[in-house]
Amino acid sequence: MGDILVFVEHKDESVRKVSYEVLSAGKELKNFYSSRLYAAVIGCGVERISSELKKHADFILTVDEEELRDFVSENYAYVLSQLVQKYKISVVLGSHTGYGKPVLCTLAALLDWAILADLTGFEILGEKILFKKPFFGGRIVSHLSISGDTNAVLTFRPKSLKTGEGDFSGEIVRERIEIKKDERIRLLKSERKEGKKVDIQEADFIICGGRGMKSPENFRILEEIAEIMGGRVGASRSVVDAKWRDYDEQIGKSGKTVSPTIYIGCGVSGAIHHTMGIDTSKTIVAINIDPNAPIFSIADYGIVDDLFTILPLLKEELKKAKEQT
Amino acid sequence: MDFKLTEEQEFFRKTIKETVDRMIVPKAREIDEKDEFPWDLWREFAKLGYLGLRYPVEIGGMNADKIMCMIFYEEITRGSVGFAQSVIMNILMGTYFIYRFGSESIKERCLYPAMRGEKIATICFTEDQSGSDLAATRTRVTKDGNGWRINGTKMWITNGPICDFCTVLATVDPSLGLKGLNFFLVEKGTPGFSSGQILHKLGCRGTVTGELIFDNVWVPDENFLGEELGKGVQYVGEILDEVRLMTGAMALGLARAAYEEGLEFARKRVAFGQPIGKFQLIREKFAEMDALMNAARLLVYYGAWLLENGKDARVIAAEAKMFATEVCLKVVDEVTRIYGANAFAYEYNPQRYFRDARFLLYGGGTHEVLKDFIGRSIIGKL
Amino acid sequence: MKILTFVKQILDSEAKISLKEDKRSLNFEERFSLNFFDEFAIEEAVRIKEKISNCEVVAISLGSKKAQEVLRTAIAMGADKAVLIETERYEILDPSYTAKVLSAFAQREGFHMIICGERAMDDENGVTGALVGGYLKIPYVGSVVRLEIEGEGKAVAESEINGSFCLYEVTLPAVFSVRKGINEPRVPSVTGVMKAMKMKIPVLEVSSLSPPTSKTQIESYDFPEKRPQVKIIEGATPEEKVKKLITLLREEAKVI
Repeated sequence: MGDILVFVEHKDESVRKVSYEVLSAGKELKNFYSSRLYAAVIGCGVERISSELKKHADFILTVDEEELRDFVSENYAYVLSQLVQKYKISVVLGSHTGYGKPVLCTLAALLDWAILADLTGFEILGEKILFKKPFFGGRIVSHLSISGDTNAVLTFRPKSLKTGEGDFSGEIVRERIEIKKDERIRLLKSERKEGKKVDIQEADFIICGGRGMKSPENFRILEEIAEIMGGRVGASRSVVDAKWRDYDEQIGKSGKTVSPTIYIGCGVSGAIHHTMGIDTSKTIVAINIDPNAPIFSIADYGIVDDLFTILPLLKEELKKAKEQT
Repeated sequence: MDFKLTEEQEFFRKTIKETVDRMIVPKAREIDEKDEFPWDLWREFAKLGYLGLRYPVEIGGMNADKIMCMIFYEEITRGSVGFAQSVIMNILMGTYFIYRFGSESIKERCLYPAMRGEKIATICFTEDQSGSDLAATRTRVTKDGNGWRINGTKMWITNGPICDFCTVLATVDPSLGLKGLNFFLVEKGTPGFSSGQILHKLGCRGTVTGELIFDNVWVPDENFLGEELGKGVQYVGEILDEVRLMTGAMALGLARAAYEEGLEFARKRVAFGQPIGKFQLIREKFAEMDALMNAARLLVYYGAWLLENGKDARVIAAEAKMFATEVCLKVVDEVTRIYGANAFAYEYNPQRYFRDARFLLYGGGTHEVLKDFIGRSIIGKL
Repeated sequence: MKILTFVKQILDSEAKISLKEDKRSLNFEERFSLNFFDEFAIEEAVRIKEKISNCEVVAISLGSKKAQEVLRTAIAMGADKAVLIETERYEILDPSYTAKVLSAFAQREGFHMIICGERAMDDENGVTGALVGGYLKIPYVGSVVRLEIEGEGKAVAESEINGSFCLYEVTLPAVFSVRKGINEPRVPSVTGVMKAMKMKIPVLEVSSLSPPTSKTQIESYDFPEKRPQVKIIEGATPEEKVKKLITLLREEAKVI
């Protein structure tokens, strides 16, 4: 394997946490292959972002162009392909997110490289690397390999890799690339959903409500707890289907797969469709009045009690705990 | 011998299963709890076109073969017995005699709207003093000018209190017994026709069942449903086997609903440190239930195959109805045992299955009557 | 207008799965279903067809003979035609293999739009649409929550990207992958079901689409690590329970 390039994602003028995860994977691969690790920062007005990365890669390739202000995956992929060719990269890494996925797929097609997507880890075995990837909603884990010298694009599931300390003294390289803007696709407008700072897949703390929450108004307290913990509120499928919460909060097989440090399920029964989306969380807490709720079979800690008694107490205790640290 | 469904039937099963899972299963509990006719679900479901299941494509039906009909009856009942009962009434008994004998104008008024779900159909057999014993029918019909006058009270009428029209069994002369029976169409709004007591049932809730009163109701000649007088019972014979098989298929559907829930519970519920499905006595229950359900399924679908191929299905249909409903009772009972005390709580489904299963015992002939018929058919005239 | 929709038959989420002894392949219960997200794709294609005149919807599946079932569902929901690209058996395929075969078919068949679900629930890749767009060198928009056809071969697609809603104007032909919420997939009506039952579905050999060799392999399978038994927190009062929980989270799990 030759040199490695990481596609860095950024938001609000800083590097997204997922990219640090991928950079640490890149570092591990680089050390093994004694190759070079490049980070690619692409966008408009991204110079400051690049300086954040000095400790995380050998070279930080910065492409700062007006044409890249709007997120159009085709244009980003084109830029990456130019970098790949110029620096003779043989593997590109990125995150399996709304930004990473389309860019890296388009890149893989453009270069005609192999692609492995939504990986949760890898293992170096002699000359071979085995990539870990869940199938069937996490019911099976597979170990995948790439043939011989095939160049590849790899995307990793957010929060499945550890972030490490950076110890590089990287060099920032400004790249001027003439962008042939794809005229067939144009961003008309982009709207951020308000008040939701952390992406649910990046959140360390998720408090999820199910049918047991009884009404959409009762989610208020979950919002408050999520805010105290700097996390997000999640929702089960039935709650989303009942239009109590938006689909972007849905956790589970037909929603998002999350792996927070703490997941708290409140009145979530824990149907397999839901548990598939949380079983890689570090610590799972379930609060449910029904001692037979299947969620208890996956939880680390369980409280069998009335939600509406427990939640206000939990809010106070978490607040205290947070203030202490 | 071939036990396989055709690819088409297989597709039909899958589609109707998914339709039931999506539209009916999520509402089943509410239907049971409220015990009100689920009008919204009815309209939504009717729009799909299944109410024309048995009738020719030319008049807007689906022309389903008998196997597909059983698949339909089984799957919809798996969703909700109460809702299934109302739907199947429109599909089969409530419209059959109108389809068979009704004039074009009657079909325009009753059959086609019923196939679209715009009208609710029913059939009136049972009375206070007559159920399986049709010869005891007391509702009287007498010739009156160029029409007929009907007097009597019918009981246990599925969809009765909300029906738009009904097919009534009445006798021209009680002393003639079975030979005096005939069918007549009575439409809502006919003077003297009204709905009486509504029954509060143990199971099959959500279907409105009750009393229909015919107080000097006059209908024109056109409403006589038949070719000649006195042949009512013979006409019943045309669909009796299908009705019995249908009840068997309903029992299969309900048994499956209970069984599947029991299975999930046995896999998940932990007792003494392991899932209860690991205990031999629980496994034994599943062995029994599975064997019985497979046997019942073979009987029901064999009966349907006989009907579809124009063979005599009388004994098999009676056996299928009797056996499948008994199997259903056994299965719901076992599932309530697997569920333990939870089965006794309204918060869980097994109690509903337990109550619903009793309902299937009665329609299409009590088991005492069926057994006598089967035995008599086997032993022959002595 | 011609719309292609890619549909996939996947192992049902409730089908039993076990590992073969050598862990290199799987045993599974033969229970299959239409991939959840593909229903939204079919529905969206059919809705477009119902809105504009002269539009044809063709459903395509790469899968085993049994995958005809999901194509019939597409027909029942309103697709006009269906084609099965037949593989020997149900298995997880290399993502670029799948995308290349589908691209080759699309090119041969001709189209204005391709609509697919945003991911398959068996391999969980969610890359087919983007790869096909890449191979065919046409625009791609993922996670589409709203899709409208504008005059003169243009479409407007709203896409949800990491919590932002982005509105794109796209010149057709293009590929769109749709997510839940874009529509409410219909329950097929009897008319559709009857049409689907009768439909003869043409079957294509994969080999006729010159498939590439897979560049990735599945070396082995495993079950995920089991989570430890739950600790049910006992306590005389709710206060006690919550306090105990916080202590455990801090001292045992070390997460706060």
